[in-house]
Amino acid sequence: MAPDDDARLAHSADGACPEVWRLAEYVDGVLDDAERREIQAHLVRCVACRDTVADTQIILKGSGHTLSAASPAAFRPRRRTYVWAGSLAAAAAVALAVYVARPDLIFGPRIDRPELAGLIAAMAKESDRVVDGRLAGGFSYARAPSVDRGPRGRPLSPDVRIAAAEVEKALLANDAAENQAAAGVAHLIQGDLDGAIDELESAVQRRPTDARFQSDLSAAYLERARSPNRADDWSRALSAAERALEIAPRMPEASFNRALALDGLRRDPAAADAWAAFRKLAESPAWQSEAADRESKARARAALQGR
Amino acid sequence: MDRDTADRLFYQHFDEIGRLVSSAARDLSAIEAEELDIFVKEKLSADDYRRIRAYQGRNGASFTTFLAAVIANLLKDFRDHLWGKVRPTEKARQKGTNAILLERLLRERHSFEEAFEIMTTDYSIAMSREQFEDLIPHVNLRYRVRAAQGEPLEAVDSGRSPEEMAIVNQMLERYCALLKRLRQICQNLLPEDALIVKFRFEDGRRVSDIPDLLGMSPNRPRGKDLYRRLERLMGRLRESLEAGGFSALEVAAFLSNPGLGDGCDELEAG
Repeated sequence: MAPDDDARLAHSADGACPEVWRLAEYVDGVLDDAERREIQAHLVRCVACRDTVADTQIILKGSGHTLSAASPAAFRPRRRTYVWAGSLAAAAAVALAVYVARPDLIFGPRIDRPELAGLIAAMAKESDRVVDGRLAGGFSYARAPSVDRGPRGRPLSPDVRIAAAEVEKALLANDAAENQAAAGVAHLIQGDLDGAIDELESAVQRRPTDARFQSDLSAAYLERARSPNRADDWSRALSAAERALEIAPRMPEASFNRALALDGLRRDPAAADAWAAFRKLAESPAWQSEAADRESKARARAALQGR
Repeated sequence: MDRDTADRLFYQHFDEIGRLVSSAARDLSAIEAEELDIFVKEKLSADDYRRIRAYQGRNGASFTTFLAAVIANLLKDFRDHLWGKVRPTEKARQKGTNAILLERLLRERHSFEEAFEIMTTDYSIAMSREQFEDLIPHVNLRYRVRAAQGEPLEAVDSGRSPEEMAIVNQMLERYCALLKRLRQICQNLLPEDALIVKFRFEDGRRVSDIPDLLGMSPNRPRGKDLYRRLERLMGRLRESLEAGGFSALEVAAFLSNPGLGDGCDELEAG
């Protein structure tokens, strides 16, 4: 439990925590290396002093005292629970539960890929999906593209184009695997399927255990599989989705893409079962409804084949 | 520093203190912000300006930064006084003061129906039923008591089944186990790397804020280096956590949702 202000002063006098003026000097960046390292070593151990340092910065930035050109930070003091036995923040659990439960029903839509946040926000304004497959990271529901109202027949909105360009720019600044996968998604949304697959294949190679990359690669294959002479991409899409599901068995995006791949391969009974499996994972009624529709079509085709 | 010097500094910086308090109060309602302003000024002048007299002014250190640090500490005390020892969740804070109040009322074991009544009558918040329901996804429902049978607003919560909350609780234990392992890993890192990890993954600070939290001179180049360093640290953490028996999925979820382990210590202790 963090000491109150008076107790904190007494604590400092005991030598356990640095005095507040030393923390202020640390924030100002005027300490020599030895003193700075000493304070840092303390901060590693002391959450109360870390809070003081971070809150001091935030207060300064919010009052216009920052020397940095960065925008003022949101005031985000750490949350702490002190007395309520067992009252762990449910949000903590959600961090993992988003992958296994139904996040939209519990705590609203998630965005778990900050590198895609701008693109996700821009895409949320679109009424139709740009690609048939599902992209990972918190993209909200939009109707599937179709011949009549698909994205290829109309230009992307300026917001989406700007957000996609930002993602590509981020990759130039920092070629982390996350940024490379995000650039793949940006290419995919803009209709550059080969570029998307190149980036996503590289990201997967760099980090094969990231289910999100595998699932997005599946979505890219799914899209290219509709092109002439690209039917072999259906199998690739299925494999990538299944790899994602091996890592994250309850990942809705991967489950959706797997069902789409089975649809594309005309494995109708398996596709119908895959849609039924996806419906159990779907985060919203809209996704469930689309899956139910696709499932009934797959079952109808399977029944016709069985005659 | 003597009392008179401190008195002079206090009045010279009176407006500055007001601006710093306004910045500190950005999560508070207008009334609470006024209360904080009074609270801070009282504390700063108490005991013959004891807090101000602590200012050393070494190495050209800024008095404004010193004031901000003192106010940061006073803000913690004020929040404890205001909200009790349980903080509102980040989700409620982002939604605003009404969501914070709703979360507090649910924590005090009011039902949705009672909370709506209290907010619109006792607190005179002009709010429709729809606006109230809009707040609900933004509060921590773990605080919600079982609603009375037949309570109309129960429907709002119908999507959150006991099974889902059971999953939440199971996952919580895994999150805390990951956090515990992360702390062990920190013991083998260089202090500055460990501090970056703590700020980012334990406290949930934004990556873009971390360079300013390392106590470096403002003239020292920062930014891109930090991202590279964080990326390297992330790789190392990922490997160490996976080697500790956690799945790639759990580790990815943990690292992409930093700063949510509040209460893990109580779980361990309790």
